[in-house]
Amino acid sequence: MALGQRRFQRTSFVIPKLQITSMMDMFTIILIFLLFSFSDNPEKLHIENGMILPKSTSQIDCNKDITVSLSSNSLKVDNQHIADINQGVISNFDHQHPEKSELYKHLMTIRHNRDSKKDQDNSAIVIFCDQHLPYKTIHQVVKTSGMAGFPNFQFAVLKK
Amino acid sequence: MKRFGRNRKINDTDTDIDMVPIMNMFLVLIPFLLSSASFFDINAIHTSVPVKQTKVNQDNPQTNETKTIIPVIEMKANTIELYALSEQVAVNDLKKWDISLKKQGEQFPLADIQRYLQDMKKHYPESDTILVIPDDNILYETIIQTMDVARNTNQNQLFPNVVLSDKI
Repeated sequence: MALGQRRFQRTSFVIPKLQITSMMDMFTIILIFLLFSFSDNPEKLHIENGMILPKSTSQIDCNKDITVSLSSNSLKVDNQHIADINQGVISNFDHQHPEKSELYKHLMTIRHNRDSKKDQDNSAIVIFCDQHLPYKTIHQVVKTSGMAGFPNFQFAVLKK
Repeated sequence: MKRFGRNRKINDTDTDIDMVPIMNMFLVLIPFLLSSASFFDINAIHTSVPVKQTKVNQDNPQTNETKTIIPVIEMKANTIELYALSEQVAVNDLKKWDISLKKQGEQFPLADIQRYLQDMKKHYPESDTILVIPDDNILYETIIQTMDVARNTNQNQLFPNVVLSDKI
């Protein structure tokens, strides 16, 4: 009798249907969110840990030609470490002779490479700078870049 | 009658929509959109350092509408000095633009600066360049806020060309 019951239960077993309605809802929400944050020009940026860019009302797109990254502890050009920064002071940087600095030498190399390739001359340096850095640090970079033949800059900011 | 009843019973059964193709489409779309999504919107503020310029002779008499003036914002630790430079405007007229504003707590009076610049733009609409001279210890964030105020208001453009400079 018991065996007969068990056989009956086995035959009446129905394969459960997968309820995908909730999954569909979730995917729809994700899809809408991603459609809103879609960018036709996605760019990969390496921003230093702990670096906070200031917010601005600027609507101009940033063209990442040569990037100079100024965080609270390091100075980088195109992701290459150039010097350490300690309390807003760039190490091994002589204010009287910026042309002796590593930054100047590096920018001059880029300048020479561009000149030899007959690249466009009005290229701008994009400065990614932490919002808590004082102007004296930025000024050293700006001044040196100007001396190396890059008088135009773009300050990278986050859209407000 | 019996046949009719049977037909109705067949029509009443639930018809499940096949969601699998839609799910497949979503699974293709989501990785694609994820790869092209931008979660940070990075923009830029154009600026430059002063460059040497050759003097251009201007024999034609100019009105205020065609004259250009360069407002200067000198950001100091506790005050902000505002004045103007121009080769086309008389010194006495330029002196009218000399003002000094004190910091309000930790903030610079950005609204007052904007009002000042709007007034200047009204008098000299052809001007488009501004000089910003920050003190050594002024934070980058404050400089950007000041640049924003100098470049445009909510309605119109003021001085879109910002030049960072040393003290003249």
